[in-house]
Amino acid sequence: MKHQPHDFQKASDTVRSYLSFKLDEEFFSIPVMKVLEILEVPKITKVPHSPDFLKGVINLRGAVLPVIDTRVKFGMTPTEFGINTSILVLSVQHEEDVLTVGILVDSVVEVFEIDDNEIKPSPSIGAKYKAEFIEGMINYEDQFMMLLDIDQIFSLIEIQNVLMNTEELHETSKENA
Amino acid sequence: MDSVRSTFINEATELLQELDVALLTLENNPNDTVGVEHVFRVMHTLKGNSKMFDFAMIGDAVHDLETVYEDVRTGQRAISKPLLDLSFQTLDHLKALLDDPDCKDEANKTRHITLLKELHALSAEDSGHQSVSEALSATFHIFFKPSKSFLLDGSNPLYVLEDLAQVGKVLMIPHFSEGDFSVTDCQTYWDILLETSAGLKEIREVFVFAEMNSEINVQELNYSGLIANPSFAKEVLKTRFDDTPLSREQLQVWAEMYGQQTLSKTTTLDKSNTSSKAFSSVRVGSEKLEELMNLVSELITTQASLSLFAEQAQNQELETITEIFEKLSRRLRDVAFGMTLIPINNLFNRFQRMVRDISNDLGKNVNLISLGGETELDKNIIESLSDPLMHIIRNSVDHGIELPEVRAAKGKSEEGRITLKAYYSGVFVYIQIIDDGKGIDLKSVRRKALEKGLIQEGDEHTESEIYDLIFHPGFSTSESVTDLSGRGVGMDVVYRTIQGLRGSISVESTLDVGTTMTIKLPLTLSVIDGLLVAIGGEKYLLPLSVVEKCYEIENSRLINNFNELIVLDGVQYPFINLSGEFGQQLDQAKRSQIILVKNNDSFVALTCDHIIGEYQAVVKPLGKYFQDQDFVSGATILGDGTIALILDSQKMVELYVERHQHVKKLA
Repeated sequence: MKHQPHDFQKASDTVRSYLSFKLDEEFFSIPVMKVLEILEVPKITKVPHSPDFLKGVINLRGAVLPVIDTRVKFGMTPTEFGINTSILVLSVQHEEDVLTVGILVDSVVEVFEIDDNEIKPSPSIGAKYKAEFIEGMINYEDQFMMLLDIDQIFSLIEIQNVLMNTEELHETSKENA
Repeated sequence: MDSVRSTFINEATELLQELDVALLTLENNPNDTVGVEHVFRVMHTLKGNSKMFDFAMIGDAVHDLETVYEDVRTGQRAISKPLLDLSFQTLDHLKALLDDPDCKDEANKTRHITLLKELHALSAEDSGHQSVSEALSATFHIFFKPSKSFLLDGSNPLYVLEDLAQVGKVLMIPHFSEGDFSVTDCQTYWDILLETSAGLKEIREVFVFAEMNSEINVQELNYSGLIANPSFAKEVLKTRFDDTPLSREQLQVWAEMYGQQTLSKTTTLDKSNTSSKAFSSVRVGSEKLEELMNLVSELITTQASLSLFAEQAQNQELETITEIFEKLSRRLRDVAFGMTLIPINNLFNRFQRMVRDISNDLGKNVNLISLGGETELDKNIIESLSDPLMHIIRNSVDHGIELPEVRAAKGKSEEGRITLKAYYSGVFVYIQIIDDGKGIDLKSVRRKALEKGLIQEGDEHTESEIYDLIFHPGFSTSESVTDLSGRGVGMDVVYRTIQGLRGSISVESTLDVGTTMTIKLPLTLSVIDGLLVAIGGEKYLLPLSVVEKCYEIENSRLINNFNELIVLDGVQYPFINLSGEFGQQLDQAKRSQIILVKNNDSFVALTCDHIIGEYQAVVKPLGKYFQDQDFVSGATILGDGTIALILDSQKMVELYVERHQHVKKLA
């Protein structure tokens, strides 16, 4: 294949934009296409009796938007709100529905472009992260980061699974107690 | 299909339903002349519409049916069972034609031809009486004077006259007003003599669009054969082009001279009644209504911000304006949301016909009674309820109501009775289907459930738990599978549909006395009046419709309360400490406010830190992520942009009971 660096049409076939963000000290990236907007953190209204990773709801210009504490979801300590804490508003495909959801991140890093060829399959990471949530590994400017499959992570089925797991945990912990 | 045709089909479907109901009424009171008029009028509209929109087959069939009913209307034919049966068959055929207007389906085509033949045969029986019906026609004198500005909005009096000419034989006598002539003014007016078999109503219908700004006077002359008489015409036409309308006395004199006297066939018709009917409803697209709802919702949210601002601005004048604005938006909201609601009668009426047909087929005698048909529900909910209710009613007729001889043997009246009942209670609508049939046999349900492995031998079940088994997929107690029901599908579909509407269904039954099914549905208005309260730093909204009374008490009375009961106004109520439920500690030194809410038939007290006030809330869904938190029925955005959660007090109580039972079990 003849490669013409200035042919935008061709280049856009494989070069895509990604947004990178940090949770604690780790870098993650998601396709920019999935990000509707980035918000400063407004007042979050808690919903009682909801699982820990569901932080609550916010008012997004008149609509009610659920907010997920990504750190809790990924098994880290809950988000501590700081000056860089942001909410990424994502559009998540769930079966036929498109859901809109906000996720808390410690800081947004940058938007960059990278060719599909440069996305490496994820090496076996072991038990820490489930492999199906990770589309691949990106090495951008010497920074390794995980490319997340947000449709998988934030889909309702996954949320339901987590709920069931937590409920089972509660049950067992109660029974043990 | 283009939108014009689909509009026709919508309208025709409604008209056919109306006709169904009207014919059923007629079946019960065959001598009801008002009923016949009604049937006739509906047929007439349907015929007109189908011809106008080029549905020729439908038009033909309705025309022939109408011809038969014309005879009924003029008293030459009595309502008989064969006639009604044929009418119902035709109706069914018409319904089929709506899907297949050009009769592409062979079966439809054959049926069309047979039906038309039968109808012709029926009407032909009476062709000998044609002259009689001629004689029955009456002559009307119509004075029609369009206002000067009649032409300004594009109307043309000639169209009205043309329409009038369709109604019967006419003789028109134009007059010109004297005075300055202007191109834009309508200066012509008419005396019209109309000989027709149609009634006053049909004549007035012609003038529906002219009525607003014209002088119209219709009166019956009790003479016939006037227009056909050349001498009469000659006399009358002498006066044309003058600026003097025909005087009633003069007409009367001429009529006596040239006509034959007839009996007045039109009874006095209340004019205001007819004209108000013509304007009583307007067809609006549902997308327009939805847009209106959205705008009203936005208006209310904006109004909340304004109220908050006005409160802070401390400006007397601004506050007054805001208050008026608030009242207006509240009224606007009520009107706008009232528009999406339709009375449940629309649904109930559909079942009359079904019950008639099924009970005829089964040789049963069933009377369907509807109560509370004026109860209003969202149109979409009513649509979704159609199938579940149909299943239940079918089941009642098929399995519930016994055959007449069986009923007689049990000492019941031979006629079975099914009652449809709808009513409001709190934020719910209840729909009950009550039959006085044989009831559900608990033992047989139990046996069947054991057979199917739904329950285990030796399990203890309450009565209602057993009844609930009939909603289990694949469950049916009927020994024989009939054409109508009994295949064991149905009740579980009913159950799921009702659940899908966020409602619930329950069964009560007594052997040989009857069965009552109760469907409970939430009122799904997207704007509700609520009481805004603060609990642990967050704001919550309780629907005002469940709130009974508010109290204030010391926290010390709530803390260390052993049996979780509190005495208010000398009555003991169970209470739920919402602060505790939502993870907050009560401050012993402070006071709490208590809201007494209705919960089914009893009351429950809910505590909160303090009551903020009444609030008009636009309900927004919380989204699927929070679908397990069903004690929160939604959220609303407050004037300052923050969110308040809307509590469903009943679900809250259920959750509380569930959680605490759980804890007790574990302990």
